[in-house]
Amino acid sequence: MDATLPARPQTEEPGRAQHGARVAPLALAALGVVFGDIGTSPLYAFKQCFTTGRGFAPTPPHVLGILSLITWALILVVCVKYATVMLRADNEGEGGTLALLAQLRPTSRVGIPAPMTFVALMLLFAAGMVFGDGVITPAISVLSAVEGIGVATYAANAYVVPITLAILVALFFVQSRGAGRIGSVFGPVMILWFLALGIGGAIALAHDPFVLVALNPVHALRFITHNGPAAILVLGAVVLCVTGVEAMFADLAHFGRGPIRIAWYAVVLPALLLNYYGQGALTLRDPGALENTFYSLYPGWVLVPMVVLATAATVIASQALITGAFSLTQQAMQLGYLPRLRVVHTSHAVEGQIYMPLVNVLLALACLTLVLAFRSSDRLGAAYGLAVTVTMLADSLVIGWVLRKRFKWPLGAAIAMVALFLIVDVAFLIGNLPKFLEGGYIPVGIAVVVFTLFTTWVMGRRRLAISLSKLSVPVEEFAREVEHKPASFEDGTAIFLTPHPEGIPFILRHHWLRTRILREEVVLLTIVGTRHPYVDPANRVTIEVIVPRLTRVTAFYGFMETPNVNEILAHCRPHLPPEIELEDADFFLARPRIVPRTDKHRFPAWRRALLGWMMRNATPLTDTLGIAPDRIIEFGVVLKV
Amino acid sequence: MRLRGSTSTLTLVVAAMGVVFGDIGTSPLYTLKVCLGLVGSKGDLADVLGICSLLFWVLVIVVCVKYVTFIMRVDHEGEGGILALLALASPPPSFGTTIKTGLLTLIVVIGGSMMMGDGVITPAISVISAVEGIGIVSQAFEPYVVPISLAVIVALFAVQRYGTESVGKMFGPVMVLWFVTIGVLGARGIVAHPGVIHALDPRYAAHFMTHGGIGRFVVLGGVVLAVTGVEAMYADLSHFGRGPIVTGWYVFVFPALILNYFGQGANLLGNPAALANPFYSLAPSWMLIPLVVLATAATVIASQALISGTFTLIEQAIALHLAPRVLVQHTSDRYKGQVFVPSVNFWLAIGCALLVVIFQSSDRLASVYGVAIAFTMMCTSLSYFAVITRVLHWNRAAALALVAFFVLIDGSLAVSSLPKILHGGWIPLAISASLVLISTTWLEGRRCLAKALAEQQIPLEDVLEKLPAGVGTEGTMVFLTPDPRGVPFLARHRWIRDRAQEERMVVLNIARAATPYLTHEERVTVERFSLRLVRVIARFGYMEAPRIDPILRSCDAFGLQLDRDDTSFFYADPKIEAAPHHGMPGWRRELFATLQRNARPLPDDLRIKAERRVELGVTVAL
Repeated sequence: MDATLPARPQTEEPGRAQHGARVAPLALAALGVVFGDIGTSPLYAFKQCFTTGRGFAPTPPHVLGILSLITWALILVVCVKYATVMLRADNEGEGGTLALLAQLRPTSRVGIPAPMTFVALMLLFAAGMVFGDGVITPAISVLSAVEGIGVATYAANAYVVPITLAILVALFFVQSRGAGRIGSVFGPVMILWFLALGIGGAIALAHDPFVLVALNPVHALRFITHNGPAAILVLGAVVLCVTGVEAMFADLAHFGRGPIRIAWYAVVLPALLLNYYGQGALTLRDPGALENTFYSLYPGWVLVPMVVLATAATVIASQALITGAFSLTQQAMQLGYLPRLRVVHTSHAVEGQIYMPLVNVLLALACLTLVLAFRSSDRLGAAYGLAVTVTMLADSLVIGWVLRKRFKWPLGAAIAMVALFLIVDVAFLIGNLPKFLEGGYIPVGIAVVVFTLFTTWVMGRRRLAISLSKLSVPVEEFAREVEHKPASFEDGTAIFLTPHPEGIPFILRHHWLRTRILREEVVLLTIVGTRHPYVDPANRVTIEVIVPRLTRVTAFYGFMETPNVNEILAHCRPHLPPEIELEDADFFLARPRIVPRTDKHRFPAWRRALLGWMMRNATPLTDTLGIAPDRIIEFGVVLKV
Repeated sequence: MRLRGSTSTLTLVVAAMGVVFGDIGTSPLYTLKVCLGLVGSKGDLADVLGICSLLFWVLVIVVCVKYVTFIMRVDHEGEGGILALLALASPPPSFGTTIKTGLLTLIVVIGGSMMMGDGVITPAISVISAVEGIGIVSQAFEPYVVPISLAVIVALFAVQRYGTESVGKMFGPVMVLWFVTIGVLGARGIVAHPGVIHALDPRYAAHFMTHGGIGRFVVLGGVVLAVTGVEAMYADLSHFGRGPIVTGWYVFVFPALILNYFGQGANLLGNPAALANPFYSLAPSWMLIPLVVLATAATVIASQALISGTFTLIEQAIALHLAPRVLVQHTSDRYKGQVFVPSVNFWLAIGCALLVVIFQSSDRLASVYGVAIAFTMMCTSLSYFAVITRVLHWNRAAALALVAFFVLIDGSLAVSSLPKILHGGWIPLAISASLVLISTTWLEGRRCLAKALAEQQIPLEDVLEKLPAGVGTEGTMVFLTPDPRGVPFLARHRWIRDRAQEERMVVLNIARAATPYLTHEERVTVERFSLRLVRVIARFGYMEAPRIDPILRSCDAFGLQLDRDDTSFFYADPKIEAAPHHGMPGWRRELFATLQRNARPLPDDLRIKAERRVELGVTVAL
C-alpha cells in the first residue's frame, strides 16, 4: 500500500499470470517490503537465544541445538506454513488476517453487521496483536542496528539511544510526505544487505564448516530432550527469527505469490541460513563474540559501513511495517471494525499509497516510549515475539477452515495439517509466555486495547443498525401514508443516505412526518461494503425504481476501495430519468444520539461511552464521500445500544 | 454551596472553614520543612527566626492586605475568583462580536490555567504529606505510604459523582478541630521557646534575605507554599460572602497558622532532630496517630475543596466561552453551585495518581508545587487593576501604585519559584501551557465559526421583505444562532430557503447574562416581526446551566408555543477546513477540530429532544 510497493498487479490470480519479465522486479521490490523484518532478525535473534532465561553457555551441543531449532523453525513456519499453504488462502488476491476474516464473514442480514463468531473474534484479536508487535518492530530493529556503533567503540554506547530516537523521529516525520515514494531504492539496498548477511556468514562458516551438521533436526530434538523446560524457553528467542513472516501473507496482493516465493528461496533463506550458521561457528570458536555475535562476524574496517547498511535495512523494514499498519487500519475501517479515520493519499499516481495521521502519531509515540523505557535490543527482545506467536496460532486455526472450504480437503488431512502447525505454534507460545511479565504485557496490552476498539465498534454498529432498522417501514405502508395525508411537493432532488437496502428508511419518513413536504424526486442511497477487496466498476451500482419519483440506488464497494459520491452519481446518471438533478441534490442523513437499551443485554456504560467517543471522532461519512457541507442535512434520532 | 440569608454568622463561619480554608490551612504540614530544605539550613536560630518572620509577613501582606482587604471586596454579583474579574471588567459582548480576545482575556486565561496546573498537585501533595505521618509512627509503615495515598486519592475522586452535600456538613467542624489542634500544638512549642516571638519583627526577614547571598532568594519558593490556598479562598467567595470569610480568617485561621509555624520554629530551636518532620514533631508521641488521622481528614477536605473549586472554575470558563462545553452535572437540588464534571474529574484523578507514583514523597512534590500559583496571583493582581480602573474608576495613579506593590510581591514569589522548573516544576507549567493553548485555540476557532455562520445568514429586515404573507403551515423552524440579527443558513442551504416559504421561523439566541442567576421573568425576550418571524433571546446567568425547557415555558407565557412535535431545532455542524490565507497552523486547526468534535453539542446541553434536531453542515475556514 505504498510505493515501496508496485501498483497492484492487474490479475485476480496472484502468481499465476505474471510474465517472466515482471517477476524479477517484483521479487526485488518484495525483498524490501516483505522480508525487511525477517531479514533484519539476525541482528538480535541469535544472540537472544543464549541470553534467554538463565542463559546457555556456548558449548557445541547448545550451539548446534539452537542452530538446528532456528533452521527448522524457518523451514516449518516460513517454507511450509506460509510460503506453501498460507499464500494460497488469499481473498481474491488480497492477503492478511483481515482479508481472511472478510472471507469468513457470512453474508449478513441486509444492512446489519453480522454477530461476531468465535473465529471472527479470534482473528480480530490476532489483528490486534499485529498492532501490538508492530509497535516493537521498528524500535527493536533500529535499536539493534545502531548498537553496532557500540561494538566499534565503547565510547559510542551513550549515543545509541539518542541516535535511535532521532532515526525513528525522522522516519515517522517523513511519513506525511509519502515516504514510500523512494521505495524504488529499497530493493537494491536490501539486495546489498542480504549479500552482506550471506558473505559475513559464509566467511565464518568456511573457517568451521562443522556446524553444518545442525541441519539435521536430531540436534534440535536432542537439545530439547536434554534441557527440558529451559529449552522451551529458548523457543521464545527462536521465534524472533520468524517474526515478520505474516508480512509474506499480508503483502500478497502487491507482489503475487511467485515473486514472493522466488525472493524467499533464492535470496532470503540462503542469506539467513548462512548468517545464522556463521554466527554459530563464530560463537563456538570465540565465546566472547556473544557480546554481539552479528557485528563480530565482520572485520573492524567494515564495521562502520555495516552499521550504516544495517540501519538502512532496519529503516526499510520499519517503513514496510508502518505502511503495513496503515493498510491494516484501512482494511479494518472498510470492513467496519474501526471508525473511519482520516486517510491522506500521498500520491496521485498510485491509488493505494496512503498516510494516516492518527495511526502515525500513535505508532511514533509508542515506539519512542519503548526505546526510552527499554534502552537496549536485548531487553526489548524479551518483550517481543509473544504477540506474533498468537497471530501465527490464529492463522493456523483458520488455515484448517480454508483447507476444508476452499480446497475441499478431506477432514482428516486438514486436521493433520493444522495439528502439525499447532504443535510448532503451541511450543512457541509456551516458550513465549514467560515474556509476559518482562514486558510482553505491552504488546498484549496494546492488542487488548485494539481488540476492545474493534469489538466495541462492530458490536455497537450492529446494535445501532438494529435499532435504526426497527424504525423503518415497508414501502407500501409509507405509500399509503403519503396518499392519505396531503403532502406538498417541492422542486429538486433529495438523496437520503441509509444503511438499509430495503424498506423506507426512518430518515425519509421522519422528514415527511415533520415537514409534510416531499421532493419531486427522492433517491435512497445505500453504500454496501462487500467481502471482496475490489468491485468491478461495471457492477458498482444497482438502480431500482420503487414507485415513480422514488428510486433506490445501492452502491457496492470492496474493502480495499474508498467510496466516493461523485463516482456513484456518475454511474447512476445514464440510468436515471433526466428529472433527477443529482448535481444539485440535498443529502439527508440520520445523526444518532445513543441511549442505553432498557433490556439487560444493553452495553455497559463504559462501552457506550467508548462507542460515543469513537462515533464523535470518526471522519463523517459525508467527508469520505466528498459531499459539500452546505448540502448536508442531518436529522437527530435516538438509537438504543 | 450557597448558604446565605437567615443562617447565623457562627454557622456560616464554621461551614466556611470546611470549604474555604482547607488548602491554606493544611500548608503547615510541609511548608516550614521545605523552606529549611531549600536553604540547606540545620535549624539554627537565625534561619528559623528569618523564615518564621518571612512566613508571617508574607501571610500578612498577601492574605490580610492583598486578598482580604482589597481583592475580596471586588466581586461580581457575589462571585469571586479570577474569572469573575474578567466577567466584571469586560461588559457582555454585543451581537456579532461574540468574543473579544483582548489582553485581559489572555491574562485571565493564563491565571486560570496556572491555577488548574497547580490544582492537580494539591490533592496529591496534601494527601501524601498527611499519610507520611504514619511513617513517623513506625518506620515499618513507610513502604505503604504511596499505596495508601493512592487508595485515598482514588476513593476521593470516585465519590465525586455523588456530590458532597451529605458529608459536607462535617467538614466545617473537622476543620475547626484541625485549626484548634494545630494552634494548641504550636502554642506549646512557643511556650517552651518563647524567643521565637521575635520573628514578628520584619527585620529578621530582611536580614535573612539580605545575608547569605543570592541563593537565599529561593527560600521564597518555599514560603509561597504557605499562601497557595489564597486564590481558592477568593474563588470560593460566593459560597459564604466576604463577612464570614474575613471573620473566619482573623478569628481562627490566621492565629492558628501563625501559632503553628512559630511553634514549629520554636521546637526546632530546642530539638534539631525535629528537622526530619517539624510538623509532626510538635505533637507528643501519644497524639501522633490521632493527629495523622486528623491531618488526613483535613487534607481530604482541602482536596475536596480544590476539586469542587476546579469544577466551578470549568463551569465559569465554559460560560465565558473560554473552554469547550463538557458535561456538567448538578449534584444537589438545594445548592445551585454544586456541580460535578465527569471528564475533568477523570483527568484530575489520573494526574494526581501519576504525580503520587512519580514523586513518591511530599518533599519531592513540594519542589514542583507553587510554581504556577504565583503566576496566578500575579494575573489576579493585573486583572484587579483592570477592574478598579475600568469599573470602579479609581484614581489611576493610586491603582497603579497599589497593583505595582502587589505585582512586586507576586513577582518575587514567582521568580523565586523558577528554579523549581528544573526539578519537575515544568509539569504544572506544561499542564497550564496546554490549557492556555486549548483555551486560546477554542476562542479563536469559535470566533471564526461565528464569522462563517454570519456569512450564511440573511438580516431579519431582508427576510421580512421577501417573506410571503400569511400564517404559514403548522411547522416551526427554530434556529439556534449566536447572532440573532439575521436568520442563519438561509444564504447557503437551499432546503432551508424552500421551507422558509412555508413555515414559521424563530431565531433563538442563548445569551449569557452578566449576573450569576436570573429569575423566571427575566429569562426571555420575545420580539414578533411578523406572524411568521419571531426572535427570542433567552438569557442564563453564568452560574446557571442553560436548558431548553425553561425557555419553552417562558415562551409559552408569551403565547409562543414551541414545545410541539412539529417544531424543529436547527443548528450548525461545523466542517473545519484550511483557510487559503493566513490560516491557523495545521496542528492548531487539528486541535480545534478535535475540541469541536468532543465538546458537548449545544442541543445536548440544552436537552433538546433528539427527534426535533436538524443539523446543517457549515464550512469553517481556519
